[in-house]
Amino acid sequence: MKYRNFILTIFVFLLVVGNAAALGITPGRTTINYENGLEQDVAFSILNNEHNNAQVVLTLQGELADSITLYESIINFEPSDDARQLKYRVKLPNSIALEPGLHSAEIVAMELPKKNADGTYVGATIAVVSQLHVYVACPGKCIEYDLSVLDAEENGTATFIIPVLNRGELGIGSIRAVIDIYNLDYDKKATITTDTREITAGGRTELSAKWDVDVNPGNYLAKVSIFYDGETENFEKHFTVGKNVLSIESILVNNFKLGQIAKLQILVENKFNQDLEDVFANLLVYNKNDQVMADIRSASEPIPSQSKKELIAYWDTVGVKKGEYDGKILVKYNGKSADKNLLLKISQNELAIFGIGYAISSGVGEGIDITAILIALVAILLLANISWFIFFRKFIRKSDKYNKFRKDKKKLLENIKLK
Amino acid sequence: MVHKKIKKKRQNGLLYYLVVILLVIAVGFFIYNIGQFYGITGNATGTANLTISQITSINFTTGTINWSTGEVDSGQSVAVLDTSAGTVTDGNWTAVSAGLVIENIGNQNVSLQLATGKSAAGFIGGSDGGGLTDGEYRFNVSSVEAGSCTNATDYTGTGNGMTSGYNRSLFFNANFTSPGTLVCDNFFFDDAKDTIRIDLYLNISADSNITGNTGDIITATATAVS
Repeated sequence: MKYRNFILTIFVFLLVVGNAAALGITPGRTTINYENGLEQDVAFSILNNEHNNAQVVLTLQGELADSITLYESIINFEPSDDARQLKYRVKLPNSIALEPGLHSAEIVAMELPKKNADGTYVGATIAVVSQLHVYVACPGKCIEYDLSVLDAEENGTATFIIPVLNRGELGIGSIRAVIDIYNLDYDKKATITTDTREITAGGRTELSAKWDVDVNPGNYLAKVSIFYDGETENFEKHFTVGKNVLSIESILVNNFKLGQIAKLQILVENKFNQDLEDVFANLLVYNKNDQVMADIRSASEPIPSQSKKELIAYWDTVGVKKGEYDGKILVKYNGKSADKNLLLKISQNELAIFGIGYAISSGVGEGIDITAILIALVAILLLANISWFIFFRKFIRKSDKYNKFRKDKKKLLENIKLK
Repeated sequence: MVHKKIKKKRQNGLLYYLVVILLVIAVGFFIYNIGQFYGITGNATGTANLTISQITSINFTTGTINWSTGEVDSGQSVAVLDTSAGTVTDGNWTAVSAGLVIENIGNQNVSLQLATGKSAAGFIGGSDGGGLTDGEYRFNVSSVEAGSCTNATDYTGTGNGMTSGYNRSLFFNANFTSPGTLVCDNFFFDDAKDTIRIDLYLNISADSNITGNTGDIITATATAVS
């Protein structure tokens, strides 16, 4: 019976994990600026990441699909093949010259699915896309821009970078940006100005500015005004200060008894500048084979900004054996999570959890508290040292007195002899 | 005697100068070598061009779900095969609790579209025995690693959509129109959050097409996002 179950498990496993597929393409995007009558080859590669026997079919789609010619449309990969270098021919139509902006096409590489197993199944295959972006310059000066905020940590220095592309036919002599930083209540926190640069027609530059972060972690809004040769563009973008929005402060387990339901009190701090809704804790405990043997979840709770809250989770420890287990505590909110690895030491009357700051150990009356033992040990050692010190001083004094007595006695005897 | 002393003094003086010269040469060589090593000689200028190949690449680490062969239990009008719950209800197919798993193994974020090869009618067919209004062939997307996939669109369908939080209990109807349904605006390549899972929900009526070997292929299309 045991063997039958084992064979069935292996069979189901094979059915599930079989037929993994992987495919890559590089570059993911090729960008060219439109030129009248432009005709050129564009190189790209298809990657056989997993070294599979695979057949890949290439197709074209998008506005400029008719302007592209593929040299090959079916590629056969052997397991020894890493990649295949390919190219396509692009001949830009003159018709797009009058439409400034982006025109595109996509080269789609799709792995042809292999024959699947018998039965009722759903298989999967992969398609990866290499894009061709063609920009037709606008008459005059026009720009494309974005904002990246780097190293935005509390009490640190954040760098604001605004990459700017000149999509116009004319160069820009002077371009700079002013960035106003607001919190989500629209209170202005800072204003910073970037350096001033110039951009050639079709060129790219990066404007940058530094900000000494003197605000709490949280979400902020950057309102950006870009000034260039007498013209202005405005845009805004949210960014986040701080990575560790939620901090797991401690886990308490009172009155633990193996085989009963344990109550875990998980203290979490919301360091963010806004309230978080639906925050919950998820404790995973792994067995010796690194399989999840317990998946414990607390109820979802809101945590106000800049405050701490205890999340309560219950763990039914029926069937759990004494010993040491690896674990992980995750606190999740809005699709994001903070996590920490743990070590759980389980005895009959104690669940000791190691791995989070000053946390965590608790048992019932008859259980031995490790902290108490340590304090007692320290106290004993202290007493022993003090006693030894007092004894030693007394001993030295006695010894000094004795030596003095012996010297005096010797002198006295010598004097008597002399007399 | 005096001559000897003078001679010795001269020799010491020469030795002193020789040592100083050797020291200066050694220090010079040391600075030169350090400069060569770290490129800080002060007279070298140049431009470093760094080109990083942008690779769009995804991998189905679990690429097939197979419930083996089966049929609707006698006396039942419909069976439900649900990988998110890991169950088969009112049928004798083999329950599967694993979903299809996709990992972004490239070096750029991508958008991800999922297209089924067949419609619900083409794959499963039969009457709508489950009393469903949106078909019988559905898929769902959830993050295996939290934050792997974001979507600007907040799908809030009733049993037919997906919340931005990727609730595993909410499913899309199969979409076999190319390029399929956009499930991730941003499917990240960051190793800590680059894996998602697709679960399937089949509602099979007793008079369905599902007899013997019947299957479908889902195509996941990855396109670089800027």
